[in-house]
Amino acid sequence: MGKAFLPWGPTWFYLSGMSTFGRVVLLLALTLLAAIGHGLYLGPVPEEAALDSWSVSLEAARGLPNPLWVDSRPESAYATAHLPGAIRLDFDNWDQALGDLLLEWDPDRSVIVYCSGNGCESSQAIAARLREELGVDSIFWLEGGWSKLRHGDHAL
Amino acid sequence: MKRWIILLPPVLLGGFFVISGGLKLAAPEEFYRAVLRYRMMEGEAAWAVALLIPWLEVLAGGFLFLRAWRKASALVILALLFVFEAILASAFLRGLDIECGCLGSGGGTSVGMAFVRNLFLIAAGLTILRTDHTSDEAAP
Repeated sequence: MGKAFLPWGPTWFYLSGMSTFGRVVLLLALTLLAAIGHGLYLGPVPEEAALDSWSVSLEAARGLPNPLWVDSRPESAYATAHLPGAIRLDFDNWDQALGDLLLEWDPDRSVIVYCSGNGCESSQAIAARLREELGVDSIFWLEGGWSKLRHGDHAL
Repeated sequence: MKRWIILLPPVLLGGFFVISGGLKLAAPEEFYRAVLRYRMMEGEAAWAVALLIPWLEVLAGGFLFLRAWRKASALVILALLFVFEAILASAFLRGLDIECGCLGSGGGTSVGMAFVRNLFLIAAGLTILRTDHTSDEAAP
């Protein structure tokens, strides 16, 4: 057995007689064991983490009667352009902006939160906190965010 | 070929997967959400995938550092990358405007960027298979 590439570890760990296929199977089995152990440790499916059920497409958003729009992008982006009537709300200006929002909002009105688009997740987090604080379900986040609003097939 | 050049692809690829799997393991619920965003599965199936993929990444990535395991690990990682490329292509064709979820919550990589990055990772994996001459019966 060549030691040149075996700087450390017990030799049995390298299972030198095992074929590549055997190693692949063993690797997959180890993965399965680790994931099962991890799953048992973490417990059941975290349903509350499934924020996606609160997403709304732009097409669906247009079907909502008179929704209240919330912009969770940075202030500079909001200053450059935003949806007419959208209230800028993020975790930094929460208390003040929530006051502005409550002046406009009534419980029959859906709220749709958008962030910049590709990959941003602040809209999900803001929508989740609004649902919690306002105690209503009809608060969604917009799939695709601002980039969809500006350039999407159903751009407003 | 110089040994360090041969070692470069497994070290880079292994390092990438250990880090990307580790970030996911640190926040399993984040990755669960990322899996849901692809809208291909939900509930227990998505949760199972959210736990299996990071462990596969960490183990296969880590085993790439061991010469005797390099070929097997590279095969597993290539299979993972090819499947993921197909999923990314499907997300793109379905018009999903989502973050890939590749590096935990902080990645911010779009589907298109992830697709291109995966091509480089696949190239690294194929290079490992080409340059790794460890035969099945060879010592580590």
